[in-house]
Amino acid sequence: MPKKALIFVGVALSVLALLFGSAILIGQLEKPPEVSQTVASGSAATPSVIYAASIPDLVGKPQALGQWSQKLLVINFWATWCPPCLAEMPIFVRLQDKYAAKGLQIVGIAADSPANAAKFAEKLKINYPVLADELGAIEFSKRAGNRLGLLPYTIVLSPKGELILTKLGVIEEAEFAAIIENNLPK
Amino acid sequence: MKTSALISSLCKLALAFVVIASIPVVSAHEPIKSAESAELLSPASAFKAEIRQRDAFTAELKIVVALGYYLYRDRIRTELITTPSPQTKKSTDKRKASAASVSASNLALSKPEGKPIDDPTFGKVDIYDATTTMLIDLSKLGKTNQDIVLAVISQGCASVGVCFPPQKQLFNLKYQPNALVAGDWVRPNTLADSSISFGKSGLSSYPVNKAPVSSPAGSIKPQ
Repeated sequence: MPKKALIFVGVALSVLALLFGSAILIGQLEKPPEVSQTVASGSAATPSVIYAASIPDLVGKPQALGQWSQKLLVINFWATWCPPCLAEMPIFVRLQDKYAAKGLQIVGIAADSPANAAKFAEKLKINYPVLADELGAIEFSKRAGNRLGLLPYTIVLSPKGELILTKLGVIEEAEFAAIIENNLPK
Repeated sequence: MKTSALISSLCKLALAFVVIASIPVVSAHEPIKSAESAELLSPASAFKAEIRQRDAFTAELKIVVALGYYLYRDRIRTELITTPSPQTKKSTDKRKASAASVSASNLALSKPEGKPIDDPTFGKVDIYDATTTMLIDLSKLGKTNQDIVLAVISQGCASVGVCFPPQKQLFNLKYQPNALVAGDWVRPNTLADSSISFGKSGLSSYPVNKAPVSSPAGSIKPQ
């Protein structure tokens, strides 16, 4: 091969490699931090399972989750033995206060006794419905996509009944508020 | 430098750039790894418990706590599980026997000091975030050799900001108060080992993505 052609091939290969490397680097830098789990179709978290459930409230009256199917529904699984759960609940109080009139409905499901849940709901000034099932809430959360049954666990369902996201761990307020804003009923 | 050497160096530099660029970037401002991006352990793996008889009337409970996890000191307790003899079971209805005859009584547990943390919700609480051992008082069992079932109930969290429900692990132990040496370490029963639910018996658990159609507790019912 002539010397000039060899130089050309070498330089071309180097430029291509540099471009490829740069593309990978830019892609990584622009990748947002992973904070929520996008639910793929066929996931264990199916809206029909959630809407079909009925869970007792703090006075023992069964509450069908389907009653909120026309709302932007945020379901937060929590427990009084879970400090991160209690730490994030004021965020839900603020969001409910801000967006309730625009179609947001937050519902708390406690893996706790109604008495324990009521005590903390009062202390934290919860302004949305709190349901409690000490024996069944964790199993229900697993059926709603919470693979290991850990808390806190939060689900967002659109007013059209689509699963928008599931989130294991404490939510980040600004990011979660943006998700709410983007999915409120039109 | 010869042309071929120059081209070779250029290619090596470019290749090195591709390799470096492919290494995952860790954001410096990310304060804590989010729960979902972390590989979370099951509670049985995060808190590996073993029990052995240490001396005449004492058993030793050892819990190996994985890095990044912790148990609440005041939420660890032990129980002696009592089931009726097979003769008693035969004489009664099987369903009634399984539901009502198993009983549990608390066993005194001597726990070492924990590591104090300032919890924003609970104030100062003690945790165990490393291997810990504690002593179970078995003196109420008397001086007769017997097979016993011990339950260990515990609750903890991962430091990424998620918590496990209370779990109950069962251990089959040969109680030998007259033995001269300590017994072998016993791991929890397989059935209870994977349990992280609040099931009535503490044993109800379901494989991931194979949850039952209706709740075992019966209080969450599909309409």
